[in-house]
Amino acid sequence: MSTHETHDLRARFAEVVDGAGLDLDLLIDGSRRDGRRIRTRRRLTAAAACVAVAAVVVGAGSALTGRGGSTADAPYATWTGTPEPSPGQRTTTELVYPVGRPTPITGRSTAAALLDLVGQLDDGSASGIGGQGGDPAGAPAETYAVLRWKPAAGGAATPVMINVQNGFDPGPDQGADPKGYACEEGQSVEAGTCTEVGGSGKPFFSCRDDRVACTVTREDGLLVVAYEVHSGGAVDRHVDVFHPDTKLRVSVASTNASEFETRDRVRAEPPLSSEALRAVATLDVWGETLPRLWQRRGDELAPYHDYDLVGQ
Amino acid sequence: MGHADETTFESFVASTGNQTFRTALLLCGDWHLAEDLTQSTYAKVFASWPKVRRADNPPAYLRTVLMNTYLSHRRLRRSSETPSATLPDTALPGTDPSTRLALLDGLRALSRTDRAVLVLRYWEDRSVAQTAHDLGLSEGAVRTRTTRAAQRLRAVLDADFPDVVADRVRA
Repeated sequence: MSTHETHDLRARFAEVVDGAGLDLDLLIDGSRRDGRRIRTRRRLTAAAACVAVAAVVVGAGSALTGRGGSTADAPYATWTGTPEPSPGQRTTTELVYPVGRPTPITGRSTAAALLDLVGQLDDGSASGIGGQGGDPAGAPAETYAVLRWKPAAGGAATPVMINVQNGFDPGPDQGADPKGYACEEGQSVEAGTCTEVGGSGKPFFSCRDDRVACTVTREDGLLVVAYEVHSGGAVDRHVDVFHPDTKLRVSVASTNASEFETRDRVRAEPPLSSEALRAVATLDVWGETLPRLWQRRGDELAPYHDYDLVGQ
Repeated sequence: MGHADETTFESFVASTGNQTFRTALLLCGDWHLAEDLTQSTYAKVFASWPKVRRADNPPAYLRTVLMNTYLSHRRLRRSSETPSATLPDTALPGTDPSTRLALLDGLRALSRTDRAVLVLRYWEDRSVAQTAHDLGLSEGAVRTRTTRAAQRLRAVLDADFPDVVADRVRA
């Protein structure tokens, strides 16, 4: 960029956010409250009592104003506590995927893949299928897909999602040799030793502050982080996989709430277990391409919510 | 944490809060998401406040937490993410709404990493080396991403506001 253009872009940014601000008192109050919840979770995790206890202890939502009617404000009371059948997942997590010519990954093919794989793991039905991504400009492809899965065994439908991010860089500690995950916050790996670096947060793929029931393992050269995020009884269950050799990141999640990152719990547990999520995330089919059959199935998905379209 | 620590946290938020929110706004392109990102960031800072307070450069720690939180956000876009609904004109006096929407649309069309690179380089005034450190990229990758992302953003702005862009370049 020329100097003029650089100056212009800088001026544009300033123009866009000029005058924007928050009520800092509310920000302080909300941050304190949420920060205390993070500490509580840390203590609960350390006590190995996280899953059962954290749902009771944590509470309270955001204090920031101006959220309107977002689902984040939905009342926790939507969970009635009625017993529901067990998730009904099959015992196997052996997944199969189509063979055939690879085609560039898209939001639609990712959604079709997610639908296929979740269907192999659990009897049920899907709705609210949507996705986003694929990069026609040639940059490393990033795709996202989500569906609402309703187990045949009963209970409410809740979202299951996947992010496929090619060319992901988790940071200097975890680039080519991802061993920094074992270090504490504010530390970095140097010559195999955790060293204070000051000003640096925990490595990206690690058991960071807000994570419960978190494990970090290395499997067949992959870095696998499995964890949950609890909020007012809602449980977002995640498995995040990083391929250090190809810089591919695959993140899969299931929740017992009406939406991710809300407190609106509608089921006792997420429909998919951590093992099931792990089976999907570690499948060696993800990358810049997916089998053509999934592309075809993705093209046929209807209705399909395209998050790339403005206003969708 | 004692009362003295909380007071220090207050002053830290007071001195950095609005700048952090504006950075979050450019990253998210959505008022509510930016609020969430800002509060999540400060909650993590509060949870580690004794360590943050002792850090050599607390604002740098804050920036790292902000970027990690932003990059770890799973969903690429919420269905409610529409610029017209999230950036009320009254909140941003003196800004042309059309220009603002075009810029935010252009930013949203970029990958998360590219968006972060541009925001760090041109809003936070971070150098190539500093941006590379912040995002865990090589300096070459930062240069490449900066050029590519800026060109793509420029294409959006040129298409929507050729006169404005031309005037500014001539100025």
